[in-house]
Amino acid sequence: METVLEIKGLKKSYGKKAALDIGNLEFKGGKIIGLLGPNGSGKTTFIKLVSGLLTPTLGEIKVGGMLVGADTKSIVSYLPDANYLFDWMKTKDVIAFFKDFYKDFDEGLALSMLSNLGIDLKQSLKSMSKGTKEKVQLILVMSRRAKLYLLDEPIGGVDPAARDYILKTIISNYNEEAVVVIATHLIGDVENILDDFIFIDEGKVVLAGSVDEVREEKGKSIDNLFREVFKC
Amino acid sequence: MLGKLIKYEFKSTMRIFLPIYGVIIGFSLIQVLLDLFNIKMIFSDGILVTTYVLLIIGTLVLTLIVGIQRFFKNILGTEGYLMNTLPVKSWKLIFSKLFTSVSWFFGTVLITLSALSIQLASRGMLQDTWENIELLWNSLMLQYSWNSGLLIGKIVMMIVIYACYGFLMVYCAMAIGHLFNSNRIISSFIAYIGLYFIVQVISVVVLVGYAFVFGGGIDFLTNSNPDVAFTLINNQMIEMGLLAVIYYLVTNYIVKKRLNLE
Amino acid sequence: MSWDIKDDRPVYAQLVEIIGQMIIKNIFPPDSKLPSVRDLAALAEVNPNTMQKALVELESEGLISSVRTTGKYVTDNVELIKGYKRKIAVRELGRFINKMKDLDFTMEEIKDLVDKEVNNGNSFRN
Repeated sequence: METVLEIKGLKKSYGKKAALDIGNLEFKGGKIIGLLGPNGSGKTTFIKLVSGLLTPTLGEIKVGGMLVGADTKSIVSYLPDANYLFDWMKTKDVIAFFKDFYKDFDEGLALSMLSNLGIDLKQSLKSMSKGTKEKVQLILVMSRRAKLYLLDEPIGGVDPAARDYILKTIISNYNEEAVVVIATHLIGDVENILDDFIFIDEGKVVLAGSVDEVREEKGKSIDNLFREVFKC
Repeated sequence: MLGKLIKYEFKSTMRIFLPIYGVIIGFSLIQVLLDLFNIKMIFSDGILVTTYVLLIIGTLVLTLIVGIQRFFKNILGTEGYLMNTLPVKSWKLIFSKLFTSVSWFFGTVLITLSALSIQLASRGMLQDTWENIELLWNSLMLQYSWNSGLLIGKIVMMIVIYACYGFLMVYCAMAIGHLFNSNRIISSFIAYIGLYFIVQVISVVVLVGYAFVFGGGIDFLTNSNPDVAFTLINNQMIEMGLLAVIYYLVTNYIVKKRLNLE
Repeated sequence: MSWDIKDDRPVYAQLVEIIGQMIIKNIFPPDSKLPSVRDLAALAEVNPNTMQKALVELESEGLISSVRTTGKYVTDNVELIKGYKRKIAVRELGRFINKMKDLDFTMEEIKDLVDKEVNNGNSFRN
């Protein structure tokens, strides 16, 4: 599989304080990767740097061989940790919006997922519950045939049923050659869907590896390993 | 992509402007009806006219505020998460905001003029006013042997340049404010004051330059020769146009290379 | 039958067991087509690559077979499934006996105990 995401000497600081300092990383296609760490460890900073919402202080980020910019944004599908769609839009407006701007957007897929959830296309986002809005966002993001999915806390603060729905939607819909990065602090909830994991803390990579290898060699879950590494 | 950006920008802002334009036109029409049936309001004409003037000034101010707020919120604020992850070049994002804001500015001017025409027409004054304007216009054309098409073109261009200049200066100030890690709004205000100061300095330098070119100190300002006045206006348009381009480039550089959405 | 993944062992090994049991219990009957890897992964809420690994393991056991392009099928060899069932039963029995021996039971005592409990019927009713 080809390299989808390549990071070299990446550093992001605010004034003198380094928010992220993770050196070199390489992500090959066909994998689901967990970016795991406590709140404020730099997960969101990482995701925003790769999606182009933040500018690195040092180093470079390449997606599909291109430096982050308008070209990489056409192959990156980003789910922020907050509501980011325009509230005045109706569901059908947002669908049209994605179709207008993203060539890789699969409208049919999005429509079928929305109808499975019983979401009315004429309903405005403003009138939706927080949970429904989150699902609509996820559906839009996962309906793109992207090369890189960046999902920031996709299951943060949802009930178990919604969690199952979200995980199933991710597994069933991501592009097979793509890299999926899931940033979360809820490790137990996602670890079974991960190939690899990266622990970060205070902006630095603490530990990284394959989920199955850890289970095989240490006989423990990533969640337990995490608790050990981050015990306080 | 640029066309699509502009389309969505209009869709977003239409919801604000169309109702207000409706109110302005409606307000004029109600007055026309009152006049028509000779209904005496308990308010005096003065109060009505004042309300009307305030409504129009309010709309103009709103046009500016919305133009500024769209840029701030949609590119540098919370909605930037969606806009800045779209696969479009940053100059197109900025252009779509500028184009839409300037268009609404023109829209507001046109609506104001239409409302005014309705008022005048209802009082049977439209024709008179129009004839007076025509007379004045024709005499100007004759006196200075101007070309009226050219002059209209120039006036429109001047408004466009002024509007672009005004919006871009604020965009640029907000982009500079965005470079700071905290207090970005205050930083933007300070940046605006800074830009304003720089522009004033440039104007003074240019003015002194004129004094040398035309000779005789600042006498040229009171020179009644329309050619001199035209040269001054032309030069100022070029000056503002250049500054607008610089603002655009700086804003684009920051949005493209220095974006930091918290 | 549920996709209950425990913490202590590799996920793929647990998937092999769970799907194996589903075949034994006729949830996936002989000669039936299995859902796609993606769909199975979504059902179990596990990584598709891990699910793939588990299916390869089951294939090497002969319980399932890949038919080019159309997907994976449960074997039509009922004897083979019975054999697999027996293999698992023997393995579980071995674990049980070892545990009982740890509690100082002799083989005779274990047999007696099992007979008695089976006749009473109470403790095995689930």
